[in-house]
Amino acid sequence: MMTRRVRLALALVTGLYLVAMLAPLLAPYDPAAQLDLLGGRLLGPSLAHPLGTDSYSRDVLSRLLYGARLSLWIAALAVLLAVTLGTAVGLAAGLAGGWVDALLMRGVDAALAIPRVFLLIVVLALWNQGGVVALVLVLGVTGWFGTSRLVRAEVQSLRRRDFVLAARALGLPGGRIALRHVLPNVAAPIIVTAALGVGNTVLLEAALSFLGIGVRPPLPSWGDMIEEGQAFLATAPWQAIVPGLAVVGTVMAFSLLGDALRDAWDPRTQ
Amino acid sequence: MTLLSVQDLTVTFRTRGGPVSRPVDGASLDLERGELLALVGESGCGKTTLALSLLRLIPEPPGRIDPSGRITFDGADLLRLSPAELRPVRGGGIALIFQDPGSSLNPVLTIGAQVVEVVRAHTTLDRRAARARARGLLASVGVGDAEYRLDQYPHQLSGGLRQRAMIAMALAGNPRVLIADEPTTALDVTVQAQILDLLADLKRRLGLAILFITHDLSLAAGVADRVAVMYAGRVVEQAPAARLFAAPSHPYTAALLAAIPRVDRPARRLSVIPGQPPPATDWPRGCRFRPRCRYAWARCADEPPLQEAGPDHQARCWLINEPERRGP
Amino acid sequence: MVAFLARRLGAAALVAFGVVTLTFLLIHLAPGSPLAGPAENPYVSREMVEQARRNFALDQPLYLQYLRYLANLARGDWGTSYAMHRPVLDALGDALPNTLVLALAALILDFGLGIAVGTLQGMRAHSTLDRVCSAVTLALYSVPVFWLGLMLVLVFGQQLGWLPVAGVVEPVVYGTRGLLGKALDRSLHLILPALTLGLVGAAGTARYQRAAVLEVVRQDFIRAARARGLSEPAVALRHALRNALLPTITLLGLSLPTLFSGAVLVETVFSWPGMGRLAVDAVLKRDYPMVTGAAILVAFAVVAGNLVADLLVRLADPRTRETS
Repeated sequence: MMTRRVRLALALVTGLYLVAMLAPLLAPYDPAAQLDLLGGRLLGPSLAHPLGTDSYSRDVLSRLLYGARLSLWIAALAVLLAVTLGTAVGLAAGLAGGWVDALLMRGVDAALAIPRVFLLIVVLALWNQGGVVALVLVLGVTGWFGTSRLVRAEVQSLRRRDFVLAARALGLPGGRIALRHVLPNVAAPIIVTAALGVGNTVLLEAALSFLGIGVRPPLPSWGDMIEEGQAFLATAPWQAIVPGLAVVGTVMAFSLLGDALRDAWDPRTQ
Repeated sequence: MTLLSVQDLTVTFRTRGGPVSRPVDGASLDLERGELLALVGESGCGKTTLALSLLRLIPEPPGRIDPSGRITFDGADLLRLSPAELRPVRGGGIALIFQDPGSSLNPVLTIGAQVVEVVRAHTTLDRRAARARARGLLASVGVGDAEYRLDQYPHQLSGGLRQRAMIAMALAGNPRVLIADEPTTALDVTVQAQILDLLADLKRRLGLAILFITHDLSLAAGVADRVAVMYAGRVVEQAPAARLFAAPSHPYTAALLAAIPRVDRPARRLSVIPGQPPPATDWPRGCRFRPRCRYAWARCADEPPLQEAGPDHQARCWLINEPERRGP
Repeated sequence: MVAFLARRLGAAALVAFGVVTLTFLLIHLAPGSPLAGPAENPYVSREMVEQARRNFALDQPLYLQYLRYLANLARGDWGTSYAMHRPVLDALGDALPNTLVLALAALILDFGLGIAVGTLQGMRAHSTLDRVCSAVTLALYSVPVFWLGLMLVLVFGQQLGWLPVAGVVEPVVYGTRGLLGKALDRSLHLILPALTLGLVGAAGTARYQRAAVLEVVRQDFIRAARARGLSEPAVALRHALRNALLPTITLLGLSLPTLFSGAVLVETVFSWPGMGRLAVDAVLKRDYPMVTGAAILVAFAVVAGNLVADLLVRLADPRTRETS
């Protein structure tokens, strides 16, 4: 499993998380501090402010780092929630079969038909809570459908395999079969989905923050920074470019990880 | 007359960060007009690689045909031809049929479309004429109701029919040589017999030279005019079929024959060739069969060349020079 | 074929039904009443609240409300927008064509470019070209679509001034133009938004198509085709591509939700008057009927699109036609 690509991608991702977690130590300024409203707005990169300042004279680098911390945490927790939910539902549907399976999967089909952003908009509008916890919950609860389909398909193909039949013939209880026999075999695709999912969630969270319904000010978030930069695209394009690059880099790292893991676990290369 | 002559053919493969593999290593054989030469050997001994390399179908990385070899067909060295010059030979001079007709046919095109495609690649016939010819080809390989079959898809045909369709495609370019790589291995026994009859019939009617590749010696015995035995990347014995089966010269051939279970004798323990075939990345020095040969002695540390063992019969073994070592 | 169509239509109807049910459940599970009074929502008047109460039968048990809800939707009464004071369906009807135009243009770009690049990569796997393309597609795939839009606005709109960056048409001038001028104006305005949406999609499609081509090229019938003396282009197009397209056509249906999700963001960046922008505005104004209406309509569009995609797959792969 530990191919060169996996090691590299894992190093990148770990590096990202380290930087993000150490934001309070690494950031030169308080991300919310409006340092000099008179003369310090929209400054370009300098020694004092390596990435410049924004329209409220806040240090961009510090905001970027704190934003990273927030985004990465949100994404990780949301994906954890989504994968857990999806695996549970997928296992249940795959093992139970019959009308339970049919009902669950019709539900999943319906939910998948609604584009994710629309679904998020509806839920966030109706719930209108704001706050990071709510965001994590909403992202997680709207993100498990694909995983459940995947798990269900894997479970169904495994069910017919001999070792599962053997376990049932020996009278092992269903739950035990699910956990100890089926789950380890499904683990690989789930982990790949999770890795790619984190990248995807970072994109989604940035989009929501950009629209104004994700991470709300004054909490720093990349999406919000891009939105603020939109107004100054002509005069200070740097404001919009930098956070965008941060998102691209982060998502690329997770995509690399997901791809590397998928290739490493591909039955054909084993 | 010799239609196809292979001299010292060597094919190498680079493995991922590892040693170089040489599944075909200095192999030579000749194919005469109107004869069926069976190339026999264990699975994985390089027979298919050899067949593919005759038409240069080896993927160039990671594979490579060593330029020291020669493949002479129709007066030209196939290894020296440009891709544009090679294309007419493929299917037009030499045709290749594969082991598994199921996976060798494009699943989304009709049989007719695929046969017509080959016809038009090698002739100047228009679509209608090509379709007529396709129909004729299918009929000539024993496909009943050919007109109906033309519009069917591969998955709608049985294994035997698919193989016939593939043979029809192989004949569409009017080749003079047909290379059949394990053509019956994937088929039921009864269908096997039909396909073998078909090949014999084609040989007779069209004067085709056939290179018949198989791992099944008894199968070869039933169809071949001459037999070449391959081991560790080279030809170790070749002779007319009758002679090879009656009086094999190389210990490997003898062991293969002995390993065939006989129904006409009282049942005994099956004889087995001890050891494993050597890996293609690491051929043994000297005679390559030496580690598994019951006769091996000091001289076998030098690799024997192909020598005359009888009329039109060559083998790669020092026992030819010291026959007394064979014992009783 | 007819039986197949009937079955797929039935399945589509089921999904549509599920979508509607899902939204109903969401509305009613949300904390707080779905009808926030004027105290909470400045756009809502007391009369509107009363009317909605009657309309949605809020004093009735839940299942009756559900039936009422379904009936309303079927009748074409999707509620009245709080913020716009118009029937929701009207507003959506105006916005839908704009979104569809954008989506279609993006889809053509997405699959056209994606398939071409992916196939090229697959046929020349592991070459330098392939590696470069892979890096580019990976980067593009990781780009937030709204940010890409902004970057395109920056380069083509502001720095170079070549293309318009807002709206469907030039506000005042449009009316004065002739037919050709109008067409040109619309086209120019479509370019940047469609490019934004399409490029990101194309990156994903290219990666997928590359894998599909690699899979196909490994198969025996490709080698068999070469053995019969067919030219490389013939092998690539008739044999490799035709087979490699099959999984990608399946991808078409699956990529619709993502397409519409992206449309929301692109419409916001480019002030494109489509359903996405409508939905976003509605969210910020707590205009629940509009939000839910937009979500439902978009879901219906996705379901319809999936139906078309299924049909395409059916037509393209003869193996799927036999079995039920």
